[in-house]
Amino acid sequence: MILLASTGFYLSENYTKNSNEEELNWAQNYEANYGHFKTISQPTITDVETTIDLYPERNAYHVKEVYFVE
Amino acid sequence: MISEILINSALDVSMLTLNSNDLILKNKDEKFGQYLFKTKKEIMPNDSLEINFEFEYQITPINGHQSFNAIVDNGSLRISNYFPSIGYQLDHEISDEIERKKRAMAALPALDSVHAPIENPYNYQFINLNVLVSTSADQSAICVGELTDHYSINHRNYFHYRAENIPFRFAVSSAKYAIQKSNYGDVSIEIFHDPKHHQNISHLIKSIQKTLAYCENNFGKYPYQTVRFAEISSFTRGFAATAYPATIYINEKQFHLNLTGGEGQDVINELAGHELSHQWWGNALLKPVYRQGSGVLTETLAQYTQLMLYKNEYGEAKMLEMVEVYREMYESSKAFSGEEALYSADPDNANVINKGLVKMYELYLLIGEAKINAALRALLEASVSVEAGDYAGFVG
Ligand SMILES: [Zn+2]
Repeated sequence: MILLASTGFYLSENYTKNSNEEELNWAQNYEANYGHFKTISQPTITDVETTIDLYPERNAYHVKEVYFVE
Repeated sequence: MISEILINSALDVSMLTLNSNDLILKNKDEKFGQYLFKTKKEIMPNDSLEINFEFEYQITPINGHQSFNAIVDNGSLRISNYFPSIGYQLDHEISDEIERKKRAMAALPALDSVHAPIENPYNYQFINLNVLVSTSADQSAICVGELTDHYSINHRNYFHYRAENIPFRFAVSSAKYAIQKSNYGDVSIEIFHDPKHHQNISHLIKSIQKTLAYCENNFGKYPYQTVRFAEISSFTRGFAATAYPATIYINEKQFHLNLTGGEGQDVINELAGHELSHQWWGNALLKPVYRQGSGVLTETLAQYTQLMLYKNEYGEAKMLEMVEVYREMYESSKAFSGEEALYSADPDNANVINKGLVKMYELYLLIGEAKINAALRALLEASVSVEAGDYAGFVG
């Protein structure tokens, strides 16, 4: 990819952040609560079958999907 | 053996359903979007199980600022960022070292060295994607891979896309697109654009054809039947263009530039060369393990391809102008934060783009285009056979 701006793009976090401080607290707590999963073996997604219904006129979408994992 | 599965849902989607015949929900943690499941029986290697999801997303003032992921009128969406993921999410962590210190958190482990061992066989976590996208009656939806079917029912347009063996990274866009088609040999070229933005289309198509010719002749066959370029709204800020399997999204700001406007650059040629070459460097054909130096195999090689295409189009003197543009950015970052060797560079650092282009130019002066391209073709062939499971030829 070619970036227009040098920062900001990679910070595509999935969670809602109301302030930077709140976001950092959230991230710290996430790591504290779930960090032990780093070493727990987890399955891998092999197939994604999905329907994505886009509603551009109201900035919304609806997804149904199946993951096949192993 | 797996007995617990942690599923991560994006916080700004509403998860309506999340279930599996093979799993029992043990804990739901809404604050972090975490769903912890126990397996009904232990999962052995090669066991496969199904997990079903249904979720909704609606832009609200709270999450409206996430413009890149957000769906907007005539916009595009890296929707895979909103699909549930499995296991611990490293990218949720605070990466800023000073902030971690301030919070008395342990330092994060350093990025894997270029010499660190790789698990063998390495799990690329590639997926097969089968997606039916629908949108309103006046719009077309663009996704990744091959379009296998499209039709209309009840004032909705449906588009069925499939892609095999791709990284878990896909996007959709929807807009009132005009379509311009062409081809390169048996590869179909499709440009989806705002009907008002037609002035650069034929130039873009020519640039795509030249890029396909160069990459196929020098590196290997283009892996899809279609090359799709889709213009997207400048509302999706922060990037000029980005490449997905068979589909490249271009920001409208880049798309309808006035090329005769005097800066002496050909942005369309640069974009087509760089982005399309990512189909060879950094998507399904060559997906380096994320670590020090991995950006050389994606951004640096895309920059090199862009440079060679520019040279072939405009000659050595114009190529030098391009080298100087990147040399300046490289020198100024060097003055600011010091020299960083490319082979061990942080892949998220712009060095792989700026210094990368300059060093590839110097290599070009040293050994020439033919030798570089022969080496890159061999690298790609090795990578494709490793991804297909043939490790014997690659070890050592
Ligand atoms: Zn790139």
